[in-house]
Amino acid sequence: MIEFVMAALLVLVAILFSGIKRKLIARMHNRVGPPIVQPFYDILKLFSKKKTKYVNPIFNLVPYLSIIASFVILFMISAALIGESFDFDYNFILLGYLFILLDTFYIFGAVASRSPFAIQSSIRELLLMLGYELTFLIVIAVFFAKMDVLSLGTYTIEYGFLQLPIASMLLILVGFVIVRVTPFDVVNAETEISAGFFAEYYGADLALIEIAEFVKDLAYGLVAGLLLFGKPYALLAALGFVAFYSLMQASSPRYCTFRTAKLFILIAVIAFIDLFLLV
Amino acid sequence: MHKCIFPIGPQHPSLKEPIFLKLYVEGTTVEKAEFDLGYAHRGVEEKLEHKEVDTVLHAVQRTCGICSQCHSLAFLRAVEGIGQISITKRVALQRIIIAELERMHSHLLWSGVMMHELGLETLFMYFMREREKILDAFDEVTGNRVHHSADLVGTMKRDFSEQDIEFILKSINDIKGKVADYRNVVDSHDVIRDRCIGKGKITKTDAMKFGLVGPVARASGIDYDVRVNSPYMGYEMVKVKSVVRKGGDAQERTLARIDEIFESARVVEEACSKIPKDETVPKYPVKRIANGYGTGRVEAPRGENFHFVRIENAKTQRVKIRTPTVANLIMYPKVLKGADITDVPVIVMSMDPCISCMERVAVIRKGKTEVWTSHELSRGNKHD
Repeated sequence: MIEFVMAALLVLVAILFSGIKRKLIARMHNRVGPPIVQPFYDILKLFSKKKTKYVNPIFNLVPYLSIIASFVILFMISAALIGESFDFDYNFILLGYLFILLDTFYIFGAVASRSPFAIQSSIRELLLMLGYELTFLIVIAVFFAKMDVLSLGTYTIEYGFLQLPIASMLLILVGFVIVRVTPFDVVNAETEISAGFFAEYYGADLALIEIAEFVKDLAYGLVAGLLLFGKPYALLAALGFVAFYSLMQASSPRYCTFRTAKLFILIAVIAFIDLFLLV
Repeated sequence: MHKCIFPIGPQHPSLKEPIFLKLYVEGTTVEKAEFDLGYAHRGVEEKLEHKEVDTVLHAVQRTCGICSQCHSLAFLRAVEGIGQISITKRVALQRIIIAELERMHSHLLWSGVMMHELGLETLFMYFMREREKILDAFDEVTGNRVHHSADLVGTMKRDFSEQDIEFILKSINDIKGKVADYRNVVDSHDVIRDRCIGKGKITKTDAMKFGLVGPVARASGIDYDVRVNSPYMGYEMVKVKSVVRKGGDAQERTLARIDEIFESARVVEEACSKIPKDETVPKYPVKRIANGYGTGRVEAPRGENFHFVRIENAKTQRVKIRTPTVANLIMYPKVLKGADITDVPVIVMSMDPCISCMERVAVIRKGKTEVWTSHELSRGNKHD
């Protein structure tokens, strides 16, 4: 029960972190920026608007599926941070797949919407998936294999980045695509494909998707914090990642799509070599 | 491969003004590009007819929010030519100071928008911060930040004081230092270079064939600048060097515009040093304008701006405006063909379109041109 409550609280933390990110980016832009609680106002406003009027079951279902998937991710991480009651062997593989599943839902929604922007976004996501999702899974596997641990709950190693510097670096690089920050935010490049996946969503559906995205960002920060620094510092590390990615967002232009895809395939190869050397 | 029509506009995050770009896309490559206009048409030319010259001058400055002074100068060149009105050295220099400051603010605005297209929001904000200093200078010397309304036929509304000139010089000094740093970033940043070099390439031959103007033409190696080739007003008194580059791609156009900021700053400094201290601007009104017609062309921030004016009984009978974007926009279908969707916003923005001041009406159906009245235009239908 405590894990469920903690996951629910972490949803609020995820939204708050997104506000912190916006504020940090604004300060780097030399702007005052919105208040930290602005994302809460945005979400409440979106919930007060009409629902998306588009009669396609997949399109309509995606916001609910994405919020469920993101909440399960957060629940698994909460359970791992608190104790071992919901823990089971090889649950880190399930966690990796849930991250992939979340993006797969978006691709389904994008294709169902028939919006050219959303379809372009899904083409980009599929291209990048070849590289970054594979890298993400391999890097998690490398950490658990090296530390000789079988589940998230039993992962008690601290400062793992000192033992696995290459894998740690790859994990941070993959974060650029997962958290969608420049230079690798090609999937929802605003000036090119106007928010990509979510171009046709509005109202409560968009609010659900936004919450799922905020939760995914925090979940990624927590996973990276857990692997790189250890359980006690996971939340602090997640905040550190927010600051780091905000800095990168403010200081880098967007990279070209095909070059990004090629780069992440190269990164996947490096991750595979790292795993091979370890085994 | 997936084929679709990819619409950019009339409202799109990469566009600052409404234009509809219809891209026929196969996969992520643009096979064919078309554009459609008419989303910001205000019937400016019709509104300028049958009015007093002063009223028209006031209105013509509002044709564009970015290059207000250039429209004013082109109109005044035409009207002062018809009335054979000569202007004093002080008036001429004051006018070109405002025109060059306007060029600087236009290029700073554009540079910021270009960085926004590339996803580099911080540099966008920094360019806009520098632009604020120019707007403050406008506020100081004319009382208006955007539409300066500083000119009158044959004269100007006020003298620039010593403090005004000091303020201008201090502002441009600040800007030069900062923009030099930003230029280094644009010129050396690997990702920016990767996104811009070779994108939207226009050869010198194509630029000549399509009649391109302004920094777009100069970035393709065409050495044409109205200020240099046919100096007007105070430009005979200052030395202007046109910025010409050879590559013809988005990177060259970006650097050409940033270099023009420095050149304009130098022209402002020279003009400020040459303003006669013992002279004041003449009083208005000068005299009634005779009947006749005339033309005026000036170098606006985007290229040659042309005005045709016909006056009868001290009222304008016809004012025709040809803005530089009209000349440059026709290049879009050619440069966008074969481009990747990723590069489209960069290519579109590298041509620096100014849609609102370009929008005119030309209704052609099956090769037959129709003339619409203002009432029909506002109704949007001729035959109803």
